[in-house]
Amino acid sequence: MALITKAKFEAQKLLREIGMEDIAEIPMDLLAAGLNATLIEEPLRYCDGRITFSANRSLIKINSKIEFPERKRFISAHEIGHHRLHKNMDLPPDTSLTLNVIEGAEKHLKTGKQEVEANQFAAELLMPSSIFLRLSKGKLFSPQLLKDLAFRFKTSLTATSLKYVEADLHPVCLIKTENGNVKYFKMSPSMKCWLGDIVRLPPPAQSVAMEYIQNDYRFLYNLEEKAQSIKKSVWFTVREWEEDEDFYEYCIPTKRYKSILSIIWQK
Amino acid sequence: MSKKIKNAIQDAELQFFREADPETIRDILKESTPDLAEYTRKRDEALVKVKFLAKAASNKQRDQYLLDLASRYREAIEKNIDKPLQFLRTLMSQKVSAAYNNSLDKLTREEIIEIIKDQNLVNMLEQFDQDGTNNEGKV
Repeated sequence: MALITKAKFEAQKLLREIGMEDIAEIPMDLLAAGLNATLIEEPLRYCDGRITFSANRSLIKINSKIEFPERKRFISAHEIGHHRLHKNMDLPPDTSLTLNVIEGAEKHLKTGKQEVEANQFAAELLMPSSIFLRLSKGKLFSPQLLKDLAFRFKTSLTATSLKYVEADLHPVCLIKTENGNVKYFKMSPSMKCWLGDIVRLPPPAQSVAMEYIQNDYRFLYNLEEKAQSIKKSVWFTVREWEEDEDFYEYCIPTKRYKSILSIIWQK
Repeated sequence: MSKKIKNAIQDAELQFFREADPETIRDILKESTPDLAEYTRKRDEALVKVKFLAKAASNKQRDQYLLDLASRYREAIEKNIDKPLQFLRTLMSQKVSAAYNNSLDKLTREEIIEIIKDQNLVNMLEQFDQDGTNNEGKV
């Protein structure tokens, strides 16, 4: 059984504190206000969201130019995560003694631990595991299931898919491509496939992701056609003694960000 | 059934519950609620939720008022923007999370200025808050 992380625990604790099983119906600025954080939307030139603290308050700014409300909700939940987990966090002693304070702080923050925690917090706050499992366990995997869950929790398909993969409800692999190269991938623990070195490289020529790149991220398929048949070997290593099995690749392209989320699973 | 009769029944029921002693209400609940513990849990949860949402709505209204008030003090919001690096240095020496950003080395001058403005704004909101607490009705 997977261990519960501190961030996940804090999100569950917050839900208990506010008497809610989930927050799908609650506007994020209202939630933030209830937690003594002021959340405002305005055009931000350099980031999607930012949080600034004073002794007793937090100011959260979300980029109003973000197109998708689901993404705004996730970024808001991420910043609320910082508000709950990292407010008034002291620098490690070695850093505060460093002459070059900015460099020291930078080194500390560069570990990325806080960002990971804020993401875990956001995922649990928006999609509480207990409800997520109740709604998805025992159901046959399909992209429609992910869409239904995303609709239910008002989350993006990417965030919902990541949660689904983490919960290991079905062997699924997610591959994110950005600006023509694979940015990251995430595989359900139960998916026994070998992916090899794909990060920072273009997706394979035979992949559906590459087809979308070649067509400038335009939608190519409709409804049932969206899940395209591919061979396992398109993305995964197939050893000599293994059969090249049939898989599906379902792509969600976002032209604005030049990104593609490939959802891959076995037929 | 006419609307008038329905309303009369509802009024009578309400009147009954208003006047009945708590013990009687508990007995009625026990009979009509299969799982009283679950009912109590849900009721308590709903109460917490209502209280939280009321507080949130009130905070949001106050925040909007304070933000409007702060927008009149442009000079205070733009304090220290002429020396962004020095300000950031002071900020980071206090608490690493005062302005949360994990790519400090990549910040441009404009980005640092944006953070400074946010920091000034949040400090000002806090000051307004304290003034309001100490001098009721002032803010």
